Amino acid sequence: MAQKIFIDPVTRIEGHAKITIQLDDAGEVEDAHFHVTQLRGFEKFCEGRPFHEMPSLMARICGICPVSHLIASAKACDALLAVHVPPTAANLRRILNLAQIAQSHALSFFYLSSPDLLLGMDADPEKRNLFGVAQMHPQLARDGVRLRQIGQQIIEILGGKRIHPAWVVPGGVSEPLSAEKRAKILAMLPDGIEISLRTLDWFKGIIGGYTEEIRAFAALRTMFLGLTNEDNQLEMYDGFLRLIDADGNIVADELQPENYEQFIVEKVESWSYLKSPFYKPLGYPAGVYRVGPLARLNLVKTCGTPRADEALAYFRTLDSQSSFHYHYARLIEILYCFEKIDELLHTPDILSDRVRAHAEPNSEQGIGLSEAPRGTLIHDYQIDRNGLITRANLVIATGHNNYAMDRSVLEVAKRFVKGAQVTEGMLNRVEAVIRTFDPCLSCSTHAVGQMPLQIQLLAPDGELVEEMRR
Amino acid sequence: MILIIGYGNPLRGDDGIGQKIAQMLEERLQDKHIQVESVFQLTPEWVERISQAQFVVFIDAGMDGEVGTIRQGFVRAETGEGVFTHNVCPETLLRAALALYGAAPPGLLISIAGESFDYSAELSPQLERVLPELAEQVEAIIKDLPVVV
Repeated sequence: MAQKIFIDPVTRIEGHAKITIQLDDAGEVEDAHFHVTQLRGFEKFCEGRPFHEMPSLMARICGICPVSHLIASAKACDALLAVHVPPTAANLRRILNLAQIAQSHALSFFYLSSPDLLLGMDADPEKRNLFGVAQMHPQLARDGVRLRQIGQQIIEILGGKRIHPAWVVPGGVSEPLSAEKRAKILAMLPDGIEISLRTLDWFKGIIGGYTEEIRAFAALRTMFLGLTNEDNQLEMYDGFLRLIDADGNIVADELQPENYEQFIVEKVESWSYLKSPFYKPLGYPAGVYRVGPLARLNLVKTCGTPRADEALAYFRTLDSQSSFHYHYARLIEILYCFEKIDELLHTPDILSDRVRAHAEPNSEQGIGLSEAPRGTLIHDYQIDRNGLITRANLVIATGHNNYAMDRSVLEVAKRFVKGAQVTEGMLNRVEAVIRTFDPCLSCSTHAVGQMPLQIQLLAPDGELVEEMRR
Repeated sequence: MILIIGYGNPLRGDDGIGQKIAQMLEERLQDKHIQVESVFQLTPEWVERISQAQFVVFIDAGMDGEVGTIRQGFVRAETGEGVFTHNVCPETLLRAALALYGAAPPGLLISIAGESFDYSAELSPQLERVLPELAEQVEAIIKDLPVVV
């Protein structure tokens, strides 16, 4: 008898989602989907607002990565003003963005995924959490807290507060960096670098225990999209987009962010409120790609900082298609962020007071693009003669990965879910592949934290056959 | 050291009462042994500082009772949930302080009943009216805490 398995809600991700797994009459997995089940409509209620409100408004879209939205929004407003942001302001924005990426990656790796990685996918779910990690490896748990602290404190020092800072404004930043603040940030960086290196070493030691998951999480092959620059290095703030195929060959290069509508289309699927962007020239689904840490490291030659590049050498020996390696890529990027912040804080003009360009709107459309922790983020605004928003289009990092997450669920379910005898370990692997992407659904929903996991096996007529709860 | 953390979203009307009271206490309690913080939400990064405190007081908005009603309850580390995301509850912070740093101080949660949690940067008029009394009452509770600093 054909049956359907529901995982609702998916746990240890940011936001609301559920997974359905359809079994055929023989009890084998026939199909599966990853559903984002809530809609916020943020783009719609921006209409009619003054454009200069957008950075502050957009930062409210998400409590997880407000800084990323703040930066993409400010860049879109820069384009509306048609101004050149002073170089010092651009570097200060870069530092803020890097701190955000570091703290967000730390949350994903240490708080959400390390229980699976340290305790195992089949461990008791009551113990498969940060307290289980603390019991087995207290240093790892403390390192996670410390990395988050460093990232958050840098954001607070620069932006005035940890959540929803309003320091980034159209044309630059609202005030320059003081020598005292610079010294405070510099003092924290060695700790962040040391912890990053320690965690990379630890992860290399345990990765051998996940051979089967690495293989299963590589079943879906896609292209990768992300920012890079003329030096072929990791780039989080500016530069151009590059698209590579599953074998690492460049499909399209030097794609200009302001032309994104010429090469990216957002596909709407009936099973999710989250749209699935794809590369227009190749159509759907051939044009599907992944974004985020794995994509970024796959498409550049180097990170551009010494210790991150050493870690990248080991990354190059791994299967570049396996979404499992988002974890290792995330750790490399944390290290890169702290090294890059150090480099930027030593640029000669970083304390300059020329940090903002002023102008009235000079363009009817403004597009801002930057790399967020989870991948490429695009803000696109159109305004009327009075500077009021007439249309807003947001292409969220998690959205780029939507199709890949959906199909990865199917591939992993096929490998691990066998018949109606569902175990915690099977279901956790299906969830774990989603966690590798670190989806943040708050940009389209309100996250409310931990909820119980509910799994239902339903007969074709809808009758409940079996139910599991965590 | 007594650590006081007032938390809530000041853009959701009375949900901002925790932060508001904390800000008032910061002015009223000029004591080097008392540290007052006002934050949007509780996050895991507080764990280390909590582990170093002799007592921690959380101030939050509540939804039960007449507007302005103050409820108190001890926070128990052993009831904290195991999952950390960007937002955690007081019990989880205490449990994490114990698990990660080996010390969890006694904790008290003071919740103040609000009336409106709709979009607003202001407290409801009813809560705003009793704000000075609420600050006095919370200050009295803190001064009566069974802790010597």
